[in-house]
Amino acid sequence: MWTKLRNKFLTRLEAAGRSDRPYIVPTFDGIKLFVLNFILLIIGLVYANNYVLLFNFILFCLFLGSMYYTHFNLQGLKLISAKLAPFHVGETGILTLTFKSRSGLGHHFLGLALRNSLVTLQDKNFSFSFQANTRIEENQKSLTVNIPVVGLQRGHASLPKIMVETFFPFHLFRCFMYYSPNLSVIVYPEKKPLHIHQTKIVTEERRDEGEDFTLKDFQLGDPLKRVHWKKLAQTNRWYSKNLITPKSAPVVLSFSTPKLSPVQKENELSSIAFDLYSLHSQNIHYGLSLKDHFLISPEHSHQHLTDCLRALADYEN
Amino acid sequence: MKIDIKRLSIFLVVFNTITIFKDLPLLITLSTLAILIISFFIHHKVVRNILKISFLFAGIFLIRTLFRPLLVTEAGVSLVMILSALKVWELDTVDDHFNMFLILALFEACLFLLNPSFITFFFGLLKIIIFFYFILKIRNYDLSLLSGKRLLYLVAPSLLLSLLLFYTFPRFTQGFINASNNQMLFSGNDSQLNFKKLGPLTLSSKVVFKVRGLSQYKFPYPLLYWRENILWDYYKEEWRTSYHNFRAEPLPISKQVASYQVQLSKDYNEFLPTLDGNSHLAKSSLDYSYYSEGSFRLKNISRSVVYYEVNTGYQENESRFLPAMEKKGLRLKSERKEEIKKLILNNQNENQLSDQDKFNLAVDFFKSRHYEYSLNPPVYPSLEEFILNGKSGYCSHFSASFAYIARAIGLPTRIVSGYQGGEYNPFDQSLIIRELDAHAWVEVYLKNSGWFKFDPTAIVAPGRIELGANIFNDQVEPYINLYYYKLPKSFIKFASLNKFSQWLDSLDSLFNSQIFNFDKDRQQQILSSLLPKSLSIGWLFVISLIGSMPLFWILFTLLSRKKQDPNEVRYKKFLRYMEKQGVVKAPNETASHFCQRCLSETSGFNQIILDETEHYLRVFYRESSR
Repeated sequence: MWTKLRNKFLTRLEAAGRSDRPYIVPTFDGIKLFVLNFILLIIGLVYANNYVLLFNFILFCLFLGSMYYTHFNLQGLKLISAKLAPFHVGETGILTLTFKSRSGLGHHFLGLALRNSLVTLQDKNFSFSFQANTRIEENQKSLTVNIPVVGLQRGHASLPKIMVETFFPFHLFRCFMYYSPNLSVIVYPEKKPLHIHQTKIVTEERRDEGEDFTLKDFQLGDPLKRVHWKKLAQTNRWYSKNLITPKSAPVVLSFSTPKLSPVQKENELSSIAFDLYSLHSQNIHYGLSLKDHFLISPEHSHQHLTDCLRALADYEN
Repeated sequence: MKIDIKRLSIFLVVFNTITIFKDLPLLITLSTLAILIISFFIHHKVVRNILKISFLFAGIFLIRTLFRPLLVTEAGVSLVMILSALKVWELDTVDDHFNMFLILALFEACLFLLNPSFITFFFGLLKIIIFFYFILKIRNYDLSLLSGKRLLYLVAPSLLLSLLLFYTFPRFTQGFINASNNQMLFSGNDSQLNFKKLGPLTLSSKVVFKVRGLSQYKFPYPLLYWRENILWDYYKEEWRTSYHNFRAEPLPISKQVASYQVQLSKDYNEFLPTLDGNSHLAKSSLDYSYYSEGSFRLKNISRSVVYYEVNTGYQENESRFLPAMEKKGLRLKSERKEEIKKLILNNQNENQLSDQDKFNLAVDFFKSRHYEYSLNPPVYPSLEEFILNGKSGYCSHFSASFAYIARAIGLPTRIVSGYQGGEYNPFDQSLIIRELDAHAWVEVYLKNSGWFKFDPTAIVAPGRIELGANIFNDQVEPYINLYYYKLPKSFIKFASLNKFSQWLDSLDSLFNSQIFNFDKDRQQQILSSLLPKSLSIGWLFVISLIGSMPLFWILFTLLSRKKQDPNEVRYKKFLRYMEKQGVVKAPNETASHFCQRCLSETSGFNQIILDETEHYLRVFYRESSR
């Protein structure tokens, strides 16, 4: 119930809250400690026991002090840039965030929350500070953090807000800040060797003038059946035929049937994604035909592979 | 041995349980320890949960049964103790650890309730800090980030603010336990003496009260008697207090006044001990009533430390003899009264004897029994049995039997319960009276001389009175029995470092009386002397709370300010210097160009200009680019 309430509160705050401004709320532990404070105050008052009262005030002031500590642990932190290279579902991508700080205290044990459906943190307890897992640049004025993230589902969306939070030092308060990085997140389908999609070979008309061999000077040992007799007759010089392996035909990948259930669709997209890589590595020209009106003509290049994968990520999303 | 959070929790629960085991029924202590032991053997989760719930209900039932007369505090402390033992069963997640921390904090507060002393508080705080340290460690926080200056910035203002709030927080009450309802339950041995229960004596060295201001009178401390309350009624082997008819104003003191301050710190403070004589309370932290028998009784039993100042005419006594006193002082319902009376009178006619004669007869009879002083006497079935056939006993036996003897022959007699002896602490010039100094004597009313104090124990064991309980008991029982072994008490005394314990005691006393343990009146007195009279304590607290909030803000703001690079500061200083010479650096001008311009436009500063520019370029360009 507490988690539900907290999430509801955070979602509302995210929608209403301003970026780059720290918000602070007590954690459940903080609330429990506050209740204990109240109980101790009552006991101390009823029994007129000064030691219980003093104990209560010490706990209360540490509670109060930790609120300021938590707040100042986040204050002054600014997100300069965010980058996330496209990657596949189930694989690990690296989210690169660059921060700038105005605080002389430093920032310790900062956690992240990416409120979106496409990617999530690989380690939910991932935390960073200026001292750990970071590369300090520009005279220690900015900080770059590489955060491993995992793709949850295929898609292409922009990440409107990133939440950075901290519970340091006593986990009694949660201080958080929203940043608007305008980050575009592209997650390609998972690569699965299912081979359930349709592969159409594009048949090309054979050009008659085309030769399937090249000529080279005849050398001793070359088989006589490779000798180009016609050329010998014309030029009175000996030539051997050097046969060229015929190039594979370009293919177009498409769905197996026009009507697919959502699960089937995702499986077919995963299957296509796997084959795209396979064809790319075999130097075969490949294209995509995901709908009747959507066609990427066969080609072979890195840019083409990216375009195809992006088309898969964008497909009916 | 690796210390983990579970072991630490068990240690703290056991430690705290042992600390307060005297204040709670043994069954509760044993149940708590049993729950802890069982937790080692039960690992199955479902079985654990079932057992946990069962133990909780059993614990509540046990508390309900044992505290039927509703001892709210003890019941509450027992429940916290059982809960803490049950929580040890489940310490899997960080949430569990924090919950354990909260329960232990509550447990520590319970210790402060039962034993409000600075030493308990100090160690309690230490225990809680150690436990919290382990929680932070488990949460994987880099503890080095909390050390040194950072921790100082957090802890120092917290302590400062907490002390400010503590001293300005208005106290509304002096406790809530009503004396009339719980007198028998709380005061135990003080207000009743059950002869059937008088067995081996096990009085601890726990401090009952401390007295200051007596050092100027050069009293022989071991010989001082401290009067607490009077036992009048004898019924079914039990001597009890009876003070309802004797409430009065104290008699004026005519001569030889000793003034002193007492700090009373029993678990339950009901009667206020004073030096035996005619005493007046000059000041008391709590409301009290005076009784014409010479005792002071608080209107409400207090668990906190009670402070009071007394003036005692130590060569006088409370001489009032009321008709009710005569009636009570002679009442003796006993089957064997006549048999004993015959033995005492020894065929003499009671009516022909004066009070002094009767008293002499009583003393002679008492002497003729040839009792021996012992801390381990057998349990006697009745007082009469002790008088006739008893061999050994201690002050309670002797005073009860002498009171019986005196009443049997028609002398109004009362038993005075209190303390005798004590230990002088040279560190703070105080007299410390401990539980083991507890004593009982009698007062016999003689027509010509009034209430006459008589200590039957002095006849049996003069050393107990002359040397004091501590030394005398060591002489009577020089060994401590540990099963089959006997350990000399002198060894224990050496090991306990008597001087050190005296110093610790004076420290505890100093913090208790001077710094932490003050009451409502004292707080008002001090604060009103420091502040304008129109400002009430409530407002002072609110102002302190609100006013001190920015304290942390200012501190953290100062702390979070970035320090400027000293090299940058140095170059800026050079720029200001050059500005004074009439050369101002343009915003887009490089250091090298500015250097060239300075060299051309000024004279006599060439070395400075070259040095500073070289330093600036070296630090910010050459070294940083490496």
